[in-house]
Amino acid sequence: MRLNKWTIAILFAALCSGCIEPFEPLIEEESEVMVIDGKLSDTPGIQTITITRSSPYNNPRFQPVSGCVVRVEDGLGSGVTFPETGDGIYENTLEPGFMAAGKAYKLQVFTPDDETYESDYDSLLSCASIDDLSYEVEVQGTSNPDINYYGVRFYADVSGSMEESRNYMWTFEETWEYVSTYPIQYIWDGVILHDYTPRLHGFGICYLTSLLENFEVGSSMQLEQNEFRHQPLYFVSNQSPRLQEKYSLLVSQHSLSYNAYLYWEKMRAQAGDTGGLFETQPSSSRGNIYNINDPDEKVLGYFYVSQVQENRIMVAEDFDFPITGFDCPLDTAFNQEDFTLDYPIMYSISSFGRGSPYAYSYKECHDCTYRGGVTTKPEYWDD
Amino acid sequence: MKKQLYIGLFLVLCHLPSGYGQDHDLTVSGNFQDIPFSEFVSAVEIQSGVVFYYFDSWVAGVKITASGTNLSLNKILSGALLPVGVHHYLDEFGNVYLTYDTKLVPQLPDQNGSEESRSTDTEVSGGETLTNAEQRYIEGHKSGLLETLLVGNERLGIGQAEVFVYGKIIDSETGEPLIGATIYVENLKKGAATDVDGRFSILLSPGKHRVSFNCMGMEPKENILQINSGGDIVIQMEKGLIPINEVVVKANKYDNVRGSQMGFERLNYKNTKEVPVVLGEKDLLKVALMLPGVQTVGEGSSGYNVRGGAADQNMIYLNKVPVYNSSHLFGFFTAFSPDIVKDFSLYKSNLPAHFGGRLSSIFDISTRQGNMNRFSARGGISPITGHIAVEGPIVKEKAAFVVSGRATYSDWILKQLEEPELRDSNAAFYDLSGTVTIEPNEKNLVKAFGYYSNDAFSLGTTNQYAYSNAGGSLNLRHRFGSRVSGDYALVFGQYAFSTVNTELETSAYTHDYRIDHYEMRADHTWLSMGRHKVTFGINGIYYNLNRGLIEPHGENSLRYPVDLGRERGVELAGYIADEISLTPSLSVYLGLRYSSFMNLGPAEILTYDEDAAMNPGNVSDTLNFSEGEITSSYSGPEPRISLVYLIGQNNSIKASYNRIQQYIFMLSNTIAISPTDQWKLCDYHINPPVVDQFSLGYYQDIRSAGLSTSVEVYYKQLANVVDYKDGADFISNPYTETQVVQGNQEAYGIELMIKKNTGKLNGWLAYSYSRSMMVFDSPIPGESINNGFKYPSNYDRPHNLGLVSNYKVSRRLSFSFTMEYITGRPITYPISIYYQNGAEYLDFSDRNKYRIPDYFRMDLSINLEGNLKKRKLAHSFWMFSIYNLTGRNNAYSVYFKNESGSINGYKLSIFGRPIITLSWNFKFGNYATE
Repeated sequence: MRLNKWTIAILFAALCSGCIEPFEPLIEEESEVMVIDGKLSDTPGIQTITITRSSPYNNPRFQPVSGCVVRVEDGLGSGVTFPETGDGIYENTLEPGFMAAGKAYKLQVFTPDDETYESDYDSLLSCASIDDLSYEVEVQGTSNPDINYYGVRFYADVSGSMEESRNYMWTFEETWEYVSTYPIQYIWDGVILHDYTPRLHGFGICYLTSLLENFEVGSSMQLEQNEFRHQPLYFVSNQSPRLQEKYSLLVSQHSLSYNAYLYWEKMRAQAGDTGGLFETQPSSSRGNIYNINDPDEKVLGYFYVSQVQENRIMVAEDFDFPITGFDCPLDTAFNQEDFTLDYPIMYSISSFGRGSPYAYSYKECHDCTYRGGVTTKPEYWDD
Repeated sequence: MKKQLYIGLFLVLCHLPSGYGQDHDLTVSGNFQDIPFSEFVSAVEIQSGVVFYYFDSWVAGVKITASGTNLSLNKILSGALLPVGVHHYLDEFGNVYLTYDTKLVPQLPDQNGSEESRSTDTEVSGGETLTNAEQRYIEGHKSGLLETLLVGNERLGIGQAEVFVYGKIIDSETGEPLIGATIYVENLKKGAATDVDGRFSILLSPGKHRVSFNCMGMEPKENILQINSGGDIVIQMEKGLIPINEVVVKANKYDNVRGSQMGFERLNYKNTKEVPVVLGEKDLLKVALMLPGVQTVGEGSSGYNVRGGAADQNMIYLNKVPVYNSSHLFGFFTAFSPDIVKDFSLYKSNLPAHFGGRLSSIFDISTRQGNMNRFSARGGISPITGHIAVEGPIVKEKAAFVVSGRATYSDWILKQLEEPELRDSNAAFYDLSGTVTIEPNEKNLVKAFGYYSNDAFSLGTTNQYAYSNAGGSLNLRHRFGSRVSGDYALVFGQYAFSTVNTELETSAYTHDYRIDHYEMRADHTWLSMGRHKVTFGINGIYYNLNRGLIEPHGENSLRYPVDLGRERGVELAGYIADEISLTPSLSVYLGLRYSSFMNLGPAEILTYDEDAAMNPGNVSDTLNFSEGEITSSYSGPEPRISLVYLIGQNNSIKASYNRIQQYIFMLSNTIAISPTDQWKLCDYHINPPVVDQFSLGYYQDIRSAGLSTSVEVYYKQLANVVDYKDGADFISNPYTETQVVQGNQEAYGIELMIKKNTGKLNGWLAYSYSRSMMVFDSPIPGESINNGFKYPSNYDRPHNLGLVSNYKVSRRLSFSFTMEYITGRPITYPISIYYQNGAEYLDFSDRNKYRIPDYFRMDLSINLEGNLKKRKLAHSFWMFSIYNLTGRNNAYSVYFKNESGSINGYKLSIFGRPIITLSWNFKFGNYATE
């Protein structure tokens, strides 16, 4: 049984500082093995299968495998081919009805060097809906006992029927609102100082949406009912400005077969759960894909199918804890020779409201779209 | 004039054998209060058969006052007669000659010697060219004149070639028996060592023998043993106040070179006293880890590995009570108080036939019996714990007790933390023990012992752990007639843990686990008239395990209750072994143990399809067994053979072979032992692990330098070793066979050790090279580990160098220094990176292909004893220690984390800087009080 890492922290944090430090192991071997990553759902839209080779630990990179023929069979005789749309990316939009709960699917990959890879069948199980999402303030310790991170932890409540899948994966898409730190009055293009019009106080409000790599999995197989109460999900810390204005999390709940759950549970543990006083032995995670000519060949990745349910939660609260804002130091200049940044965006700090002297900072501190957000308010964004 | 003095004197002059001065003495007993000399003479003549020769006028008015047992006749006579100018001389035949004004110097230049001297030439001292008088002159007035100790009755001994001498060696001050003290008869090259009750037995020819007695911490003693017939003798040894032997492995001459035991180490309380320790808590097991062949997977982890064996292949017996979890606070401390430990033996190979049941090692610990003469107490405080032990006589010289207790006050550390969750956590442990020893006479000894240890730990509000060891033993030792002694014991041991896990509300659970161990054993030793020492006996263990119920915890928990079930088993064993001295320099030990195990119902057992993985999908049938029915049984012979060949006085070669079976193992899916690891019996599907071990060693003592050295090599082959499958979960179902696999293991190594036992600087230096490899290969998919290829075990750490040293500046001040270097433990590293759903993942190397960085640590302590006054109420001992002097960040583990899409490696150290502690210990009595 594993115990939490905090066991050590508790005992020795007071005695020992810097017990955990970054470490680069010396790894001599290089291994490049086939990786087939395929996930299909019955949600309408483009479905993607990615075929790559793994890269050495010391030199991580995306190594696509092109020129494969990729096919998915439903076990009832129908099949769909996925043409290559980009290097190593194989995509298709499935016809309605191909993906249906109760059916099982298998992936076949024929590579240019005449190898054939096949997955086990994976069953599409129906997905329970997310009854409720909530969040709570949480404090996380760090290896430095003097520093704690604050933030919010999201929780899901799910009650499914016994006919629905008992194993789930939760993935997340976040959207957060932020504002430009400073206004924009002039834009220096290297030659001419343009007036910015219309003159606004800041470029305004931006909304940044991104798909998160974190995921959680859960199973109710050991439970008497197919329910998840207060299931912990994603944590957003105060180490970024995400919680400053308004934050929204879209939770996607994917039904999984039990084998897919076991696989993803192991992958999740690998991502963040190693290294305590009572650590377990890591090992390669064999998925459900095999080379039919050479079953002993190591093939990484997993092919699985799921049904998806979504739910969204908004966070707009003045928290007691400090939140790290953007780093926007301000500089001033009387004329263009004084600029310490290339092509700065600036505003006047003259008592006349225009002209020299100017104040400026990094571009993204004036124009929030430089940080990747859009100014169009999402339709679900309430005021 | 009482007898014909002059005739007598003449006879003496003629008969004196060479080399004899006034070396003889007799011990007398009695209570003489101011009695006339003549009455004293009559009493002594009756008591010991000596004859006095003197003129009455010389001793007129002399009165004798003396009382006690084992009084020296020479001392009494000198004290009473020298003031009136009378000298005395006691010869080897029991004649006492008194002379007035002239000291009798009873020697002549030795030319022929007498018949007598040739036949009993037992103590020719060195320097044959010197006359005895010259010798004595050179040596000056040596106080250590050899005292003659008498054994038996002359009439009974007539006509016997060899007789048994039963001895007991005790501490003259406390009356406590001395364990591991040795008697050695130089001319016969024969020796014996005392057992846990301070007793020894040895077969000797009647006559006189020069014998030496040695015991760590005691003054060495030499005597003439006058053996008339078989009988008993009590030897008292004095505390060694000379500052030697404080930190030494018990390594007397007898053990290292001549003992039949190999792969054997012995430590006592004093060994641990001054070795620097972390957090000021002295700890026998931590010192044992400095011995060759003993390792851990990491600093502060529970359990240890002996000669490449898993942690569950060791057992600690505390006065015969099995201690199933030897750790406090997850392994940072040992689960019994150092105050009670008296002596500690570690068997790494060549396990004597009376031990069994564990493949790698037996740690046999005996506790203090208590002071039979007066009350005493000892105790101390360190930054983590406080401890105290009280002892004393119940009936003087017949019965004594010891009680001890230790508890933490470590919570203050947690309260220093800012993390709210941790501030809410708490950790505590304590242990208690009590011993009563009753020794009604020389033939019987009764010991009762009880022990309890408890740990509780809660992590914030989400996890709680508690575990405890409990046990007791009742032990009777009895001697039948003159040759057979028996040791009978009733033993109970229990280990239990309970845990509450509320990390996830819907699957929160509680789990209580318990193992009860009931044991009965009878061990006998029979000494033959020939050259045999036969031991034989039986023992039986009844195991009762309640693996516990996994129950939902809290109103929101939806977990299914899972009953992991009860398990019962009986382990029976019988053994017979003979230690035979074939020639004075060659002896063999032939032992056979036969053990068997039965797993008992009630049980519901699943059977699986042949050639298919044992998992729920392949169940073929369900077998039901009723109460008490045997579900499965295993048995087998366990030969134990060893051989010792002496080369001269100081060298020996030893070889041994042993087989051991083990019927209980631990379910663990972590690298270090955790308190929630369950012990499990072998069953219908899981076969008992078995080991065959071969070892060979060479031993040498370099007496002039006070060094003893040894080299041992060993090879072990283990079968049916249990390991867990990837992702094993031991609480989700009771069918353990679905979670584990069985395979083979191979371990081999060489161990070198140099010990220095005397002088201002003493200690030891040990190096070992050892390997431990596993193979779990099966044609069934999912039943192999590492695709069936051989891989290093988690505790395969080839190079290990350890130094323990102590330098005495004075009797009060000493410095201790220890150093340890050990290869980093094996680890499975990521070798490549790949992407799934856009995130990075790791692919791992073959199992344990890499190693974490090597471990190196140096510690220093300064030990200050209180003053050396002989008469004082209490003595204190301060220890200032620096653990990890260089502050090296030794890696405990290396791990990888996926942080915002990229993978980062981290190294975790437990004691990443010097840990400085000051601890204080006290005891009633003076410096030397045991």
